[in-house]
Amino acid sequence: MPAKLAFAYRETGQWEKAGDELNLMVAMATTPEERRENLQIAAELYDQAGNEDKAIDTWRQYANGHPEPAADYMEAANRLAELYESRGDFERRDFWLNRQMEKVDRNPEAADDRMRYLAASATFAREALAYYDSIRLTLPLNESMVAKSNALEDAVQAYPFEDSAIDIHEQNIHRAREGIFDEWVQRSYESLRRSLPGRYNKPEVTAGAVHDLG
Amino acid sequence: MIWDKKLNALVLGLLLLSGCALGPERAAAPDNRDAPDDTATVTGESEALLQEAFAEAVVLMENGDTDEARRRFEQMTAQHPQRTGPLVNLGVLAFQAGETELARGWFEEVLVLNPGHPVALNHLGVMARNAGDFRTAEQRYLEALDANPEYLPALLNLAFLLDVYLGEPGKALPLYEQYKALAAEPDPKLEDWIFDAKNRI
Repeated sequence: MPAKLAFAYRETGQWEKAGDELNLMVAMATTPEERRENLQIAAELYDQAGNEDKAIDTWRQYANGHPEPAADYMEAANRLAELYESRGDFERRDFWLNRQMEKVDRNPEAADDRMRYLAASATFAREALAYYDSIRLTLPLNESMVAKSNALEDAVQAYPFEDSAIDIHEQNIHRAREGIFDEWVQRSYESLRRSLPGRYNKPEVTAGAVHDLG
Repeated sequence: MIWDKKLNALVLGLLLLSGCALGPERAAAPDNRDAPDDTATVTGESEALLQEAFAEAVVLMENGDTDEARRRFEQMTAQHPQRTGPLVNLGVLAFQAGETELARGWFEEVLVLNPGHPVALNHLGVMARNAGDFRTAEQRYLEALDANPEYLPALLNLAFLLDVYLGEPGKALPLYEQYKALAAEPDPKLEDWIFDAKNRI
């Protein structure tokens, strides 16, 4: 019965009711795989319904109970991070960002492009917030940047700001290609190594002792 | 430990003495191929002793006894200035200690003996990059790869230079791929670097 009702609610765009029926089907599922799929569909339906409380609750059940398949887990964790982000609950958002990074870190060979993208985005968002917290300590870089950073601090919240801060540093390091490698360019590289380590923190490799007498 | 050091010093002393005494004989050896092989045997022994002393100094270096390692390499390079190994390791020790100018001097001496020494060229590349002289860095890495196309540190460093400092991820990408194909244990972050470079091309 719940299956038929769920179908009917979905067909008529009654997403929340369809989600509730799917939740009932979770309890009635006869195999773990069926339970997993129903839970995932229920969470998606609550998302479509715009019911954040139920979406969070269901995605959380899903992610906590189903670490595999990894790709689905990553989507669930990503959605939870987005939902907490929209509520301004950064502690929980960070928790799910970390879970995404850990998932890919633990088994990088198993990650596909989409998973790597999610993990990289999670890293970016997580570090962006940390960087924002430290921005008063690391700036001013130079006079022109003081103005920009002040404006930045006044104007922005949470993490869309970080695009701007990173833009400033990325513009600044372009000067290195023109032969300028002054203190400010080097500081911008330092900031970018912290805020975007996947792209900028690439320390050069050197050999240790040579064993060949030559 | 003290005995070890004394013994090592004794071996090194003997070696250096033998190195001094045997130098001219080694030079003369190729002209006396029909003569009894005493000289060749002694030369072989002195080479073996030198190899042994060098290996011991390398162990000291790797165990962190850098002062003693440095002292021994300096002695060796004074007695056997034509050997690149002690010079390179003096360069590496100076580089690791942050003594950039000293390191540069040692590595440049290496290049006088062997212009294609990849370890020296790679270190000179890194030092140029640290100083912001990206074109020299690129040149040094390319020279290292010219001498040894599979020298992984220079391969990866050239990719980093192009990717991070010269803003040319498209040129870095094939180098990352090449490193991936050659490295027995590539850096675990390599796939992410490749993915990110592709997205920026």
